[in-house]
Amino acid sequence: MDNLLEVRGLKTHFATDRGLFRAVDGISFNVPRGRTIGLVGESGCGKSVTSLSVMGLVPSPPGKVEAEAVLFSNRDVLRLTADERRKLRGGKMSMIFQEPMTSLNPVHTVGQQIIEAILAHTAMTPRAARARAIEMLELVKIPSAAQRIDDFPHNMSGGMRQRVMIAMALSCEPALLIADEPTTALDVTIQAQILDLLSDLQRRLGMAILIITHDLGVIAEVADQVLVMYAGRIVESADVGDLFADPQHPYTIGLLGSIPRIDVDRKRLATIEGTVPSPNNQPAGCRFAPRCPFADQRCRLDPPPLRDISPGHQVACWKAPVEVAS
Amino acid sequence: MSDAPSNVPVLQVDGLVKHFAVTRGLIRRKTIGLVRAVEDVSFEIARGETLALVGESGCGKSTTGRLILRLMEPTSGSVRFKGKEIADLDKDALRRMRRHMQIIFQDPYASLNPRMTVGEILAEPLRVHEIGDDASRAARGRELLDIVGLLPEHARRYPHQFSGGQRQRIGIARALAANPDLIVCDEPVSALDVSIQAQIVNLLQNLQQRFGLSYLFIAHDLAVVKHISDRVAVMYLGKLVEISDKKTLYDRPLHPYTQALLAAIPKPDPALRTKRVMLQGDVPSPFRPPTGCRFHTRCPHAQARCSAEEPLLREAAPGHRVACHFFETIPAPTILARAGLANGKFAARLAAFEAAKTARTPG
Repeated sequence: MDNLLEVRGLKTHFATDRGLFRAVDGISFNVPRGRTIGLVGESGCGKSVTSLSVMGLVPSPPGKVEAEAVLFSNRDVLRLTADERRKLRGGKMSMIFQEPMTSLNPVHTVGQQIIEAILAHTAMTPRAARARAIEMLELVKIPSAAQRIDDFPHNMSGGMRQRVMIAMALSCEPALLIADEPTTALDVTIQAQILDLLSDLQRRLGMAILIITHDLGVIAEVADQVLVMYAGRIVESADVGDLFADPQHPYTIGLLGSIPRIDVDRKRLATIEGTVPSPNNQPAGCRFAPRCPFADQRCRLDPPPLRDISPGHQVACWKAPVEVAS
Repeated sequence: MSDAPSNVPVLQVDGLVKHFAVTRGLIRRKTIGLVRAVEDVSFEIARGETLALVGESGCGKSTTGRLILRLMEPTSGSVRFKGKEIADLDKDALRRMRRHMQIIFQDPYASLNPRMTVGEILAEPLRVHEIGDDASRAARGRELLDIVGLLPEHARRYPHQFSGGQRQRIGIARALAANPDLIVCDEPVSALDVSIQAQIVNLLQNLQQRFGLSYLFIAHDLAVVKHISDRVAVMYLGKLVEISDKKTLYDRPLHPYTQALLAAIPKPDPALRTKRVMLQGDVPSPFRPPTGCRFHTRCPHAQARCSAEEPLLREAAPGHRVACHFFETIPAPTILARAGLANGKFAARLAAFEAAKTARTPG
């Protein structure tokens, strides 16, 4: 398949007073053109740092991003100059964040901010850019866009602000949209609207989406393929249908079992005992071993590689597949 | 307090109202209007029962919780705890009453004093209520830590030395310190990761069984609520729109808002991915709520009467009340398929996961 983004051996480390934090520790994945890849994991697993590393937004120092390659349209973005990188960001590769209020400038109207992005990346005249901005606001279904364009962010609701962020991110027709927890701060009825909007825009514009979330429900709704991260590494990678029907890694199994659901009656939620390891003190072997009910001596000593278990389904676990009596 | 007859509900809330004045001007403050945060809310909680209060941001669910504990003065309405009117109590009597009604907050870090050790945090409610002496309070503190799944030596540590889930356990231990009857849980798991959330939900369920607690469980997440509650009350813009036992509410929701909320939850099963009927627009401002039914601006079934006349909370079946003019006639929603994760190998793998965990747990 034609890969828009290929990440090979990405490592992002932070030098801190309390030692080296290995936030992302050797991950590889692909984002094919026009597809939605979900990156899922709990707080501190490194999913957001992964997206910031791809975008070139990790502050250095203290951060250090290393990789064999991060290929975007077959160009290694880690070898680009700062200026080339800036051109790419917000142009062909753009990003939306969890909290739209903190990513929008409160002293400028939303229109000024969208127009600024368009002018930075295209040769449009200011007048054409304004027309384009209104068109974008209409695209993200903001009612009476021609008037709302002159509103300040604080005049808008959380859902509207996230629509503005999406309009801004899409204004230069990106090939890749990175969405980092795009609906986490929103109420559930608004979340449904935004997820629906993203899928609709993807169908119309054909961009690839890398969606980062802690919510497996969101993943099930929008992703084609899923990467599960734990403690800085990818532990499982599969098509969305496979991941939910045939999860292989014990962490994925426990995570799926711990979600409260409205469509399944279960007396007790499954739990994963303990907490995630600190990123400056990772276990030597499999990083999930201290919390894994299946772990043995080998798991504690020897880190398992991510290997194919069936076509398109990879797992980093010595015990996989867990034998199931059928 | 303990001598009230056991058939009296732990909590009876009747016609609870809270209006906040909106003012303008720094020197001469003028009231320019009212935010009707809670409007005529009534419900009961029986002994050992969990009532969930659900709704989206700004619906008044947290304000209701605070009014019940009288952390805020209600504008009007009655709150009776074990049959006794709370509004009639003077300051001292109210403080004594609070021993029996506790609260757990969403953000455990913000609700624990960073300068106190966990031992001091747990002893404080006992000190305030003049229960025991230093030695017995310290012993109770160690017992509480054990009850919530922490270690006795944790008593010497400070809140910042704990993870989010552990801090929430400390918050729960503090709420339990003086043996309350009712705990108001205000979004207790919303800030936690899903695997930690499951630990805390299970802990709350264990504690309820063990100590016969009643919970008012305030949450926005209908999936968590389905797991923990006996009955559910749904709020929209300060008003109760539907209240019923859990099974009825999830199997046959009658209010269009409840139906929309249930439909909007992302289902963790790609097989259920379908085009949904979605609520359009945002929640209107509680400063100028819509006339008539407050939901009519977003309701797919709204008719002329809905914008003119406010619907009363009417009985649809015993214990099931709905505030909608047309709940008898609006079409029933397609309740989602219940196959879900029962298919595939997930269920068997989860069973293996749980069995392996049990085999490893000593005792």
